[in-house]
Amino acid sequence: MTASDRAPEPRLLRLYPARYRNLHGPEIAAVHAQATAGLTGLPLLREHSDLAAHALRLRTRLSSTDPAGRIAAGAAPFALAGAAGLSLLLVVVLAPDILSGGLGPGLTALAAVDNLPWIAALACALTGRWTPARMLSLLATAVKTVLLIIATWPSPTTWRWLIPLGEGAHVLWFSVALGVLVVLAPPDLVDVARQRNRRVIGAAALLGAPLTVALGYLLGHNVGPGSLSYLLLYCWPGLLPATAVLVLLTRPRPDPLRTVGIGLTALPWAVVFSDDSQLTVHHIAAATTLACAPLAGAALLAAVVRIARARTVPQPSDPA
Amino acid sequence: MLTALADAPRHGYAIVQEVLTISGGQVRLRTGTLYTALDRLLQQGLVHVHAEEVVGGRLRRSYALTDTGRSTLVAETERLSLTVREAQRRLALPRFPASRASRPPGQPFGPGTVTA
Repeated sequence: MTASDRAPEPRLLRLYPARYRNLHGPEIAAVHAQATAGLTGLPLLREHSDLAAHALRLRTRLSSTDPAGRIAAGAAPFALAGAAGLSLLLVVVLAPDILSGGLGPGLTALAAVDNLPWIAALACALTGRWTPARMLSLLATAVKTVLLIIATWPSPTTWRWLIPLGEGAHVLWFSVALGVLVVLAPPDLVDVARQRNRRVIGAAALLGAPLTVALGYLLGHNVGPGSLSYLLLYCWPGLLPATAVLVLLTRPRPDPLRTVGIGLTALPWAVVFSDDSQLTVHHIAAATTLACAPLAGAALLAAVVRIARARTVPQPSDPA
Repeated sequence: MLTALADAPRHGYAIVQEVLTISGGQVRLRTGTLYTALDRLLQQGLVHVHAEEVVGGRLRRSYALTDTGRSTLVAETERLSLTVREAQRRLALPRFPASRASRPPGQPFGPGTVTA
């Protein structure tokens, strides 16, 4: 008698959707029993958590075989670059106050707790370590979620002092939304090969540096809609996903779900640089249009390229 | 996993053990990870269910490569082989310039500065 014969069905199997459990339950139970035979402590916990994660992904339709999972996988590297880029930007904006001691030790520590997890997650992704990058993204998302709850709490709370770091609720929503995309992406679909890593580095650089300059100019000159800085702030973040969308859509076999995922990462930028007084329906609609404009341009250009290619393909000669 | 299935169909735990052997003990697939990969390979048509048998009162499936899976593995193997051959060719070339790496700090390049 083998270990798999003796072992009872793990309770974790109940997490699976009934249809999948009926189809694969017995063989998964047998493999799990053999894989966990003799294991204790952390290795056993890892096996259990891995099985639970698989079950929950299937139940929530976020596995690598589901459209939502594939969309999230396309979005994840860009979402990580975007959220980490914003954290880099916040650190750069706060740096003069931190260096001069004007921020005080409490808020300096808070700024570190608030932003370093995203920056560390970016560093892990750049070195090809997606698992720690996901864990740090989860931590970063948890921190931002706590701050978001404090910022949006209906009645004034003594914890409000935690929010004076230039992050209104809409900025926190931005980080949380991107963090959720990173955490939900099926890890087996997120490619962290070196070439992709370089793209993430490029993403962070493209997002971070010009936005810092633009935001500095915007804050210094108090410019409004129609100015170059205004357009740059809202259009620039969409250029990187738009470039990726253009590349993907002009491939011989485009991956529509991945393309949608990448395009999604441009949307949260529509609100991130607005202040609370600007968050009207009219402003959000205008900012969303600006954020999506590069994507629309990329889709249009890709369509033109595909049509042009189709016309230049040589027709088979008539044997007659 | 495609390599683990290249020579024979295997059931779940046999795939785990085969991957462990192929990777020299470096990669140990956990159960959830195994079935995540199997689900995707099945969906992509690279792997199919080869046989179902009841062992100890439990259903056990074995998986095998499809023709598409085999040609995908052949293409990937060829790509890796090319990389390996190119790396071996370059490693066989004489190192250049070995002297620069051992140049003392501050010593300029030029005649008479090359050390053996």
